[in-house]
Amino acid sequence: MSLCHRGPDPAGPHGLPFHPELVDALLARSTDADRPGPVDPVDPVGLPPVVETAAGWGALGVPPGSPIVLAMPNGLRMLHHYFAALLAGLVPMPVSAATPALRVRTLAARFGAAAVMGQRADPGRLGGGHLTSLAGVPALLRRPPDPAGYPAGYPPGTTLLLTSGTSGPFSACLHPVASLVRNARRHAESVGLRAGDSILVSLPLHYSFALVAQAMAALVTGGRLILSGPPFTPAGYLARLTEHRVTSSSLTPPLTRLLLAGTDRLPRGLRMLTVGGDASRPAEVAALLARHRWLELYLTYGLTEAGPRVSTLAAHAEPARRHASVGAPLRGVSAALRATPGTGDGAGELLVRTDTAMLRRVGMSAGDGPADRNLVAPGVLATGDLFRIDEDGYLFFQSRISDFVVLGGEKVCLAAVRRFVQDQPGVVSCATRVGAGDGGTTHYDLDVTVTGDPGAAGRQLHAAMGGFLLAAERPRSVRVEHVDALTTHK
Amino acid sequence: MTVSETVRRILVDDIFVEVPVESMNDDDSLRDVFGLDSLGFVELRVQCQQAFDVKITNDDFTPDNFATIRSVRELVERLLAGSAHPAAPAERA
Repeated sequence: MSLCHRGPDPAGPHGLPFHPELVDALLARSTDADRPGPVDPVDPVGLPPVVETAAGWGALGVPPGSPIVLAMPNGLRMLHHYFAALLAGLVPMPVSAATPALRVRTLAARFGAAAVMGQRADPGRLGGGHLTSLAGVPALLRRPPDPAGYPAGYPPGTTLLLTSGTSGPFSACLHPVASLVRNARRHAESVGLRAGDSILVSLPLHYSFALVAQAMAALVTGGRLILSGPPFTPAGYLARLTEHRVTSSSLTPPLTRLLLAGTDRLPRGLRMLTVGGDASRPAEVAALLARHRWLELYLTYGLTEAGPRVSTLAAHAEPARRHASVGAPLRGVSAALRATPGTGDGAGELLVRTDTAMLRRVGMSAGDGPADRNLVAPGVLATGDLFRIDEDGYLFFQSRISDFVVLGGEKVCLAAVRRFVQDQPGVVSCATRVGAGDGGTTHYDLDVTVTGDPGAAGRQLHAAMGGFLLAAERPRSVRVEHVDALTTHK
Repeated sequence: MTVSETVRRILVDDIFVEVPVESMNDDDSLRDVFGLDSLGFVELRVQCQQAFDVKITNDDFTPDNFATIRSVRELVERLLAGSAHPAAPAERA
């Protein structure tokens, strides 16, 4: 079997565009930065060949098409289990390992997941089930192994990627893995990623960018992954770049600001840096380039619904006037604007046409609005972002239209937060106020009115939010007032 | 309350780790077993600074020092030993 990294996607099991050997080869050449030494897939004390783990799912009686929640931190094990589930015909859904139990339970129920995998997948936390393990990781089977007893769910060869920022905490995009891999190839082309590159993964693998534009891109280009996790500190980041001879890295604008706040320089071995996930400021782009004149700096724009990559700006090769742009669409992707009320100056909502768009959105409930409001036609997505497009086709981000903010690099749906708070006992109303702190960081504050004692309600709300919202999703402050106060203040 | 006990209480009360204090082991991974994400680590750093009245610099805020309860405890003890006025852990409500 050829492990060729170029040319058309080879046909693997379940319509996957790769064979198991390619996955094993990727894991064998990759490294967990936070653990000593590489893991050899033929070493019995490390990870088994990925087909063995895939076969393990079959032995457990989990039928193809079943969703599997993967609540695992960044690492070779997470990727091993992600690809093993795909090769077993299952539909993996990666989520943050920090996801509170109540939310994992709700996610699993909403998506009809057959199992939850992760160190904290125990029946006590997650509402029962049969606990087993696969390749050293606990797996909680949520339903009895009775293939005839429940529907398969989704087409084998697909995956579910959460879109908590855009549509609430329980919506996900259903993507064929073949189109994600196609998107990964296009991303690799746009940033010059190639065999022999050492790619540092600092962003969580449950982010579509890290999964597709880094892990899947490494799978098909022959790159090597260095998998890292929190905490992120400039010193630790720079040490990893040097120690692992990293040639390619990807950060969000808040993380690049941390780097720019110090005086350290990136090591010269780092050929390229991509920055995306939120808007970069032209002055910061200029500062990064001025400090690292050899560096290839790419600004990226995308969204999970699009598979995810949409456009790239090679900032190092562009004049400063373009540093406010996220570049031109990738090959196979086109962009247009649609008129948006209240906007002028040639701006409009960005529409993206791509053959890597999600098949559909799933997991929405009645209160979440239309399930596929972003998918305005097959392969055409309304991004919810306001853009201008210049005469050369470069995309210039203006602002968000939709009701979400990016906090610490994490997209947060404020409507979903308000809905959650509104559902708490005694809460009459709640409102979110978005603000900017020192250094341009974004935050939001929550104003809540309650019928009972504000002090007790505030403590109860604090605990409820802690048990449901991720740390990035929590408000900077919560102001709780008795409902009568509103009347009094009027 | 010992340093280790205080760190456990911080994990449960401030970071909302869903592992009972009595089930926590000093060598469990903060990331893999307790599920801390990037902001969870930032919160742990802030809470440790407040609880133990120490300054955790960027140089000390490393994956190695924040790998387990034991490594956090060792970091805090090192910082307390190096300070002019070692403080007992602040009382936690």
